[in-house]
Amino acid sequence: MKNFTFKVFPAQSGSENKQDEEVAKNSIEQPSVAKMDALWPETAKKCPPCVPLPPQMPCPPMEPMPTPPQMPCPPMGPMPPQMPCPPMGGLMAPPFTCPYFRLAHSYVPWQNYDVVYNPAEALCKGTLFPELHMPQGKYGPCEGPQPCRIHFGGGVPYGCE
Amino acid sequence: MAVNNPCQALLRKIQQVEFVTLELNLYLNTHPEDQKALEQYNCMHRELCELKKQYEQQYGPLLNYGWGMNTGNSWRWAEQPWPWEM
Repeated sequence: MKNFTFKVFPAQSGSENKQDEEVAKNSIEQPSVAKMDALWPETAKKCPPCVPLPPQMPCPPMEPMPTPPQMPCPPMGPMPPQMPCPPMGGLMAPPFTCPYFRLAHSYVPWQNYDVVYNPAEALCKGTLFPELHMPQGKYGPCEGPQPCRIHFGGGVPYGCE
Repeated sequence: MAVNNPCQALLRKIQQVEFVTLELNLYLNTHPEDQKALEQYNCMHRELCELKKQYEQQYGPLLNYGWGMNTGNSWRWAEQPWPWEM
């Protein structure tokens, strides 16, 4: 699989842009630190007294969430080569730091051939690979015929022999 | 499909082994160099061929139009129960 990644380079400030930069420097006068201090009244520089936060309300009791089946992690394959973070200010969302995760990119972990089901179990479960086994009815209220039968009536029971 | 007799039991075994070869086929599409999967695929392919041969010798062709073997002195394709009769 090819990994198509966009590279974003910052615009180079070449010789042709230097004149524009000079014009910008002359036209906008940057206020000095001393001037900024004078603009602010003394009262604004001090923090207001801290107000204690209202007491935290206790959380309502949570209903037990359906938990996915606990499966052991398959052994990790070789990781892609570590790449240095490109200089991209503000292009990445904070939780997803470089180099592996970027917005609008999808990622599929590499599957490795390890433990497999026997033929009878594979046909029954619909997959040869335990890591791809997703039993019906474990991930939502109406995922397979059995939960639908429970919720709405009809349907046929299912299951392995 | 309930397995009630030896014919259906053998057919079920063929389904199971054929499903494994299908799964390994799909895996090998994206992992063409995986030697363990290749070995397993070839092993399952041999077993599938053996099972199909055994079924066709005992119960008649699994496929028609030249894709299955007919044994005996009559055309067994027409004598076999249809899938909905099994």
